[in-house]
Amino acid sequence: MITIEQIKTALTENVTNINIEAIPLDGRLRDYGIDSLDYFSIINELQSLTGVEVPDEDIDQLISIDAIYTYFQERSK
Amino acid sequence: MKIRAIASHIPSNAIDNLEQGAKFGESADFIENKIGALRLSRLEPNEDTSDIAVKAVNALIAQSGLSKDSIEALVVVTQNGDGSNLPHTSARVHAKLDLGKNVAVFDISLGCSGYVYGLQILKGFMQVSGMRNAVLVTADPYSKIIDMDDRVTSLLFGDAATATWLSDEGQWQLSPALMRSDGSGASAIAVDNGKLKMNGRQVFNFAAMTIPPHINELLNQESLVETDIDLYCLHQGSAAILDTISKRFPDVKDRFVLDMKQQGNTISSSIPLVLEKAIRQDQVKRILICGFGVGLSWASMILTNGEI
Repeated sequence: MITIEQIKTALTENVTNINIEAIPLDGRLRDYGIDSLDYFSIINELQSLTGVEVPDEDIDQLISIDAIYTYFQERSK
Repeated sequence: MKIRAIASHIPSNAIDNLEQGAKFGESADFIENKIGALRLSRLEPNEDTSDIAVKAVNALIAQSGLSKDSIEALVVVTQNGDGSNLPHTSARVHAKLDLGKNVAVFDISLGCSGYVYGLQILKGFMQVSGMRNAVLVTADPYSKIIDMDDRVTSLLFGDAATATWLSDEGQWQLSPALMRSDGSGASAIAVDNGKLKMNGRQVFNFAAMTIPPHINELLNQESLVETDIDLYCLHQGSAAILDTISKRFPDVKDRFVLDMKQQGNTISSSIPLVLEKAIRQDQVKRILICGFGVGLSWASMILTNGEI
């Protein structure tokens, strides 16, 4: 099972120059400067952590920390 | 067989990658720090693959003292050769350099892993043929196949050529290469209807997941630890992928070379371009090179200065 803290850690480790704590859980990550290559790194790390594979077509669903949490929670069951 | 010298040719013609990025709404920070290239070099008008290959070989001859008469083999790594790829581009290069008929020439069809494969192939070829001097050329101008309206590929690739002199009297010894393939991922980077298509995420994941353990496997094979390597000269895919891979080696992260700002990702030329500078540094005694991409194909090798 994934936790919000693990998602924030993945964000912190893979994104520089952005204060992750300032991003609300439901805030659109793109609006806070998370770009497409950041997404690759973050999702790659969360895939390794959870064993859940994220197909390309699902990437657009992962718009916020909350959305990432829900996505991985549902598929980790 | 050892590497004796490396030279290169980067066309002065180029496109401004900040302007290209702005077309797609990408920030200057993204272009500089994630893509890693402010400028993408381009063939001059009316210039073809063999032309930049010849310029790289001529630079090698001028800089190293290599004599044309001593060249016994000339190999070109490319997947975007002159015309329709028939005849092989190395034959065009052979003619333009006016080399003798006793020279073996052939092409190797590989992308970003091509330089490492090329070194291994040419080293073995020279040994079984009793050759003393040969030239490995890389020249794979992706500008021929890039759709400038494609956000994924148009911000990344630049044109360049390199020439490496392999000789029995060289200074840099080559370890046996570690070579791997996964054809099930072949469609991740492929040409469709004459234009390059790339699944950026698939390629990124492949490199991020595959290359760190691959590097560790090579270090184990050579009974070395990561701190024994002075420089890690990996394929310059993008700043982001190099950052992701190097993070897996925190103790030596600063030994991973990033140098693609002025030309972009130049496919099989990217490793020899950084190597050309690396082997000139007196304090550098051992270098790990690693190429990865089209195929999917990846390969790595350790170069050791003969003095140690």
